[in-house]
Amino acid sequence: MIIDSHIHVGPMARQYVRDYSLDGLLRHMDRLDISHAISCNTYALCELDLEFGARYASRLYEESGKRILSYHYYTPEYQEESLRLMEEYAKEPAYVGIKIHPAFALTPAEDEAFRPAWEFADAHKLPLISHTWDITSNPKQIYAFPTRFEKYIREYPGVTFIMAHSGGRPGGIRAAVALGEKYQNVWFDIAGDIWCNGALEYISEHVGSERILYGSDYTMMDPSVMLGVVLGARLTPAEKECILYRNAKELFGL
Amino acid sequence: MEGIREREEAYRQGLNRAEVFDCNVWWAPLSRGNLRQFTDFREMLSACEAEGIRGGIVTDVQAATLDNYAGNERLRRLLKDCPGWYGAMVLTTDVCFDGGGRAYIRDLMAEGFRAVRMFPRNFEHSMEEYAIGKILEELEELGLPLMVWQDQVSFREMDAILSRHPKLNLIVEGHDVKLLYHAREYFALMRKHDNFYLESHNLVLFRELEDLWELSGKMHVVFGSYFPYATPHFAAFRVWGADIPKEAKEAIFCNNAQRLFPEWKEGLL
Repeated sequence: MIIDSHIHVGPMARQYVRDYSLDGLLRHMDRLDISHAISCNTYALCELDLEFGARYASRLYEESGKRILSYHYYTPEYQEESLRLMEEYAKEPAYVGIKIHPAFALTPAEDEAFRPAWEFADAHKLPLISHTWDITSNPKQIYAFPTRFEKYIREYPGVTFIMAHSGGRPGGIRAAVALGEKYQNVWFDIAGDIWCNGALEYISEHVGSERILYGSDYTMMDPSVMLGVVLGARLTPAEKECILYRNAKELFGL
Repeated sequence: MEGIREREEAYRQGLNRAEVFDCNVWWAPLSRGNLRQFTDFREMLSACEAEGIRGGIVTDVQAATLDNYAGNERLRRLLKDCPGWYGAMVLTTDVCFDGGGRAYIRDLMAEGFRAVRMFPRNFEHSMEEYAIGKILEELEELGLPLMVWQDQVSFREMDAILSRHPKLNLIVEGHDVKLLYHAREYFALMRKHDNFYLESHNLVLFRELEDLWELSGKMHVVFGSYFPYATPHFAAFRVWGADIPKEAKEAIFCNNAQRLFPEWKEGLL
C-alpha cells in the first residue's frame, strides 16, 4: 500500500503525455501498488476553471472507486469563487485538503490574499498544501520560497501545512527544514524533480520521517521516480513505510 | 513493513544484476550548496558504486563552466587507476585553431576519455558547421559521442548536427533544467534520427520510457544519474520498474553504453 499525496489529474499543454486518462492512471497505480492518490486537477490549477475543477474532482472520486481524492484549490485571483466552492464541497468525502500555489498566482505566500485559505483550513481541520521552491532563474518561484509561509504557519498552529516539493532545491530545502524544526505543524512532500542528493535523508534527520509524505507530481513525473528515491534512500524500512503510506493514512484519514 | 523491505530488496538485487553504467557523473568538489558533497574523488566514485553503479563517465564541472582545458587535465589525473570509470572531455571550437586538436582529443582518449561535451553558451561559440564541423568529423572517425544540454544547444541545431554527421551519436542530457517541456521536440528527433540518444535522469514524464519505446520502435536511451547532484535512484528505479521489455531495460542500463562509448583499442590512432 502506497499513498501518493501529490498528483495532478488532467491535461497540461506544456507536457506531452499520451495517456492522462483516469484509467491509465489507475492501471499504473496498480502496477506500483499505489492505493490512493490526492490530486489538484489541472482544470482548477492551470485553467482556473474552478467550477469545472470542483465537479471533476467529485467525478474522479466516484469513478476511481474512491481512490483519487482531491485538494480544494484556492487562488487569490478568484477569492470569492474559491471560497464559495470550498464551502459548497466542504462535506464531500472526495476533498481532504486545500492547495495553494503562490508561484502560479504571482502572489507572495505571505500576502493577506491567502488568509482565507488558512482560515478555512483551520475552521474545517483540513491540511493545507502549497507549492514551495528555491529561488531560481524562474522569477515566479520567489513567491513560494519557504520562509514566506512563516507568518501563517505561526498564526495557525492548528493547520497542518505541507510544503510541497520541500523547497525544491538545496537552498529551499534548507529553509523548509529550518521551519520544520521550529514548527511542528510543518510537513513535507517530496513530489517533483528534486535533484538534491540526500534531501530525503536530510529532512528525515532534522524533522523525523513522521512528517514526510511521498508524492509524485504526476503527470509531470511518473510515480516510479520518487518511489525509487524513497526505496533507495539511506533510511530504515520503518521510516520508508511512514513516508510511503503511514503518515498520509493518518493525516488524511484514509 | 515486510512489503517495503521486500520491494527494496528486489530493486537492489535487480540493480546489481543489471550492471549499470552511468554516463552522467560529475566531479564538483566546490558545490558547497549540495546536501551531499564530496571533496574526494575516489570517495565520490565509491559512493556512486555503493548505490549500485558499476562504472561510468565523469565530467569535471570546472571544464564545463570555467576552463575546459584545465578541467579536462584535472580529470585526467584523477581518473588514473579508477577501473571502470572514464572521462568526458569538454571541447571548444578553438581546440582546432592551432592544428593540434586531433592530437589533443586522441591523447585524452588514450587516457580513458570516452565522450565529448560542448557548452557553447558557457564558452560563447557557435554550433554551426563552420565552427564545429571539423571537430565533429574527428569524433565520427573516432566513434566518440557528443553529449549536450538542451539549454546550450537548440533542438534545431541538434537536428542539423544529426543530419550532417550521421556517424556521430548525439546524447541529450538535461542536467537540472526541466527537459520534459521539450518532449515533443526530442520525440520527433528520436523518430527521425538513428544517431540520437537521450540520457535517462531527466526523462521523468508519466510513462515516458514506455511511450519512447512504443513510438520510436527503439530504446535509444542511456542511463545517467547526474550524481552527485541527484541520487541514482531517481533514475534507476524508473528504468528497472518500467513497463518495457527486458532487452530495452538492458539497453538503457548498459548495452547502449557499450556501443556508444568506444573501447580503447590499440592501433585506434
